[in-house]
Amino acid sequence: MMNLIYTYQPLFDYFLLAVGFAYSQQMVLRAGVFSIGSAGFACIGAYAVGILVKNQGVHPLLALLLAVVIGCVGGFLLSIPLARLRGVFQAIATLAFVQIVVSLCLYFDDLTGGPQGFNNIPKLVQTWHLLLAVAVTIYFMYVISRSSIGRAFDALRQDETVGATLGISIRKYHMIAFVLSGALAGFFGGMQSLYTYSIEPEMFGFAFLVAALTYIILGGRGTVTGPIIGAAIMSVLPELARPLADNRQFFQGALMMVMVAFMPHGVFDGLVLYLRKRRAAARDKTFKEGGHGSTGS
Amino acid sequence: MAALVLNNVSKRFGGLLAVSDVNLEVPPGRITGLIGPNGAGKTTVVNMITGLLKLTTGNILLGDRDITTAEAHEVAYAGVSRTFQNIRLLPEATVLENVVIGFHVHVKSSLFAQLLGLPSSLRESPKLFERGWQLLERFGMTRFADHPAGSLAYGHQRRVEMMRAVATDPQILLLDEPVAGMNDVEAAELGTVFNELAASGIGLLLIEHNIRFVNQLCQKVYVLDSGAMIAQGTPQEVMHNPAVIAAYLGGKK
Amino acid sequence: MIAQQLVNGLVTGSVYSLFALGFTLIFGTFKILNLAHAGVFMSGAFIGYFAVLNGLPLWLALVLAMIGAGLVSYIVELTAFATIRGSGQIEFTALISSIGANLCLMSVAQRLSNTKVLRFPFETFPVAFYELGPVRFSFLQIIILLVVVVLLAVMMLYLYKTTFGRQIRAVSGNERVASLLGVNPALVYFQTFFISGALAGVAGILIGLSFNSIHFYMGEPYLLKAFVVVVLGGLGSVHGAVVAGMLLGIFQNLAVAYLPSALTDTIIYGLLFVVLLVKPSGLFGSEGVQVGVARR
Repeated sequence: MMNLIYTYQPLFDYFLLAVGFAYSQQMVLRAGVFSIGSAGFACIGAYAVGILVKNQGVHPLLALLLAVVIGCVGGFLLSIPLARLRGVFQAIATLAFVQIVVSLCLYFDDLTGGPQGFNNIPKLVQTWHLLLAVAVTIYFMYVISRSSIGRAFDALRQDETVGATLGISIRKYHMIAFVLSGALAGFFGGMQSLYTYSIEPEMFGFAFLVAALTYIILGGRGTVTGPIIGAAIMSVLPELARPLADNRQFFQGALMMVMVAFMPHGVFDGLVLYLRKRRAAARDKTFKEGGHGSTGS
Repeated sequence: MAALVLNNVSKRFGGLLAVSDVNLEVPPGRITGLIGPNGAGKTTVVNMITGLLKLTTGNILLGDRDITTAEAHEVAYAGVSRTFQNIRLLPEATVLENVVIGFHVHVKSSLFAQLLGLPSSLRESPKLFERGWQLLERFGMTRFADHPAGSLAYGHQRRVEMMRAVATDPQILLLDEPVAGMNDVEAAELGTVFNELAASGIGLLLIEHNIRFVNQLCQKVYVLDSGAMIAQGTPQEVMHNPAVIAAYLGGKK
Repeated sequence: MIAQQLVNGLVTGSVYSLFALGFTLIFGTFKILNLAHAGVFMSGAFIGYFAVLNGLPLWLALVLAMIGAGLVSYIVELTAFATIRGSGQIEFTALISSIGANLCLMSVAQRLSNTKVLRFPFETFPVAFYELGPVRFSFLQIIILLVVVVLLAVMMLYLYKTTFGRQIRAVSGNERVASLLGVNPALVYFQTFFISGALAGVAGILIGLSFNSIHFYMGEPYLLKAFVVVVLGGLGSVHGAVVAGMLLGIFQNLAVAYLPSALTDTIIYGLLFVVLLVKPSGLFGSEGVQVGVARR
């Protein structure tokens, strides 16, 4: 039994980190912002925390707090130029942002270790830390989701113009989405840094971006549970697909194409929408059969 | 309640003058009509009021507040609400959720409280849904509360949009062809609702093609043709105006 | 020295242009970012490599790479894009689908190459140099320039002079109207994706020859550069892709000669970011780029 736990614990840990990054990606997508820049903030957070804790001896909690602050400020700053763009242009702009961050990490190699990576970071984060972090994150995600912020995000995602005419300030709420996304990515980037002993810029490049996006595609972007499902699928899949060995990437690619074609809302959101339709149809049926209020007889 | 006043409002798109020198007033507690042939610029006027288009000339006042350059969400907070010509409901949301979005301008809890899940925010959401439910009861739509908004019949979708617009508790309600595609019975039902809304003090601007409907409901009608105001007055006055007849039947004599 | 860098840059740039041209064709016509373009580019290199390996002459390998990559591109359209047409938010879903298709292509290539870097057999391409003043051209560079110029000329002719080309531009404007006017959208999809793929395939084999290395992830850096070229040149603009591609190639070569490569990348992507802010439609694009809800 213990052996089983030991074998799968790293998988579980990476799953937890994935959930954190998935929420970061979800925040912006939920508000209708086509940003894929979480990777950039994760990179900044990871290096900031790694450097501060290892080189400067800063207390990890303080370093993580700083990562959150950097993520917030960075998200806010990024939201300003991106307010003028929409759709694929936002995507390309945030992609450029990620590339800039990665390139700068490679360039300032005195500080970051360059392409060789930043190594020997003390492993201060254990599974239970990650579990706690994710639990707290889920709490915040849930609370925000049920609040007016969550509703505003949903409205803007579905029809920006309608949202605006109902009093939702697009600039303000997009900015909030960016700030939250940056904060989450920065924080979990820092957590990753304190978990994996070493980090390198390429960890936060194109592959990271694709992974974060995939969690949301698979799980869904409108609910709190969706990203967890998406991250879970992506974490478990490589294990299940072990017999497929070298074909794993092919499988992942095929899965993405199939999901997008048949379940564009993701597994969980798709389920929620389906159940909603079923219930509505059932209610229609009973209404028609029951007749319009049998008051007298 | 304040009146909505447009003074010398024009809109130019490059070489095209879509709306020229329009003066109109939407007084509270009344239903005002805006009619005109297709392409006359009626929706352009609405878009200028609601913050989607910049005015080329003129100004727009709500009471003594100038909303000429106010952004769309600011216009909503000022108390102007609208429905859309082609119904724009949030497709993924339920009917109830669509209506509750309309309460956004009434949200009291701070962003801070919402982000942290403080009691003020947690208490507010159920209250908003309760208010939404009451609105559904008022419009007789409670059985559709959990239906995806996109799955409703056309007439019901129009009602949902109405509820959403009313949810903001506006001073002025702009209705862009609200009974298009409806039969007389459905239109009459909606007409009753409009009268109730006006009676409660809201100023309605009714943009419609259905002349009979407009004549039944409106105390004053404005007629737009090719961007310019060609007539205004009571429905009777306007209907007998030769310029109006020419505009609708086409051709200048 | 500068002249040499300029020439080198022109050659690099011409390949960027070739790659970006196919990319911008799809982006401009169908408004989707086809990230599988990287995989198509790579497949051109692979097809060319295996052709040469099986004893075929190089010119034939080039032709096969072109045709093969064109077909691969069309397969991508059938599997990744045709399946999602008609659903909402096509920009988002198409991007994801293309990422998936790209992963599939890379996976196949990885298997075919056993995750090794492939190199052309030793005498595939004659190594020769020519001097013209202060500048030294390699035979390969000349061939690359020639091939690119010819292909670009053919492309221009095709898009602007033939019926098919007009149809592509019609569908790009409004698909439903175009089909009402007698244009067959399916045929247009085929042509657009085939041509786009063919161009990428040629670029792939040319790059494979230039660096004598072919590997399954060779497409990614070009994809990232393609974003810069496409935005700088303007959405869907053929002229834009060519000009911006050349400019980028020249800039990159000059910059790399005097600056560390990481800084060069920073500048290039920084430039991309600035262009998006200041003039998202790029140098030659006239497309109304969405700007969100605001008083207009």
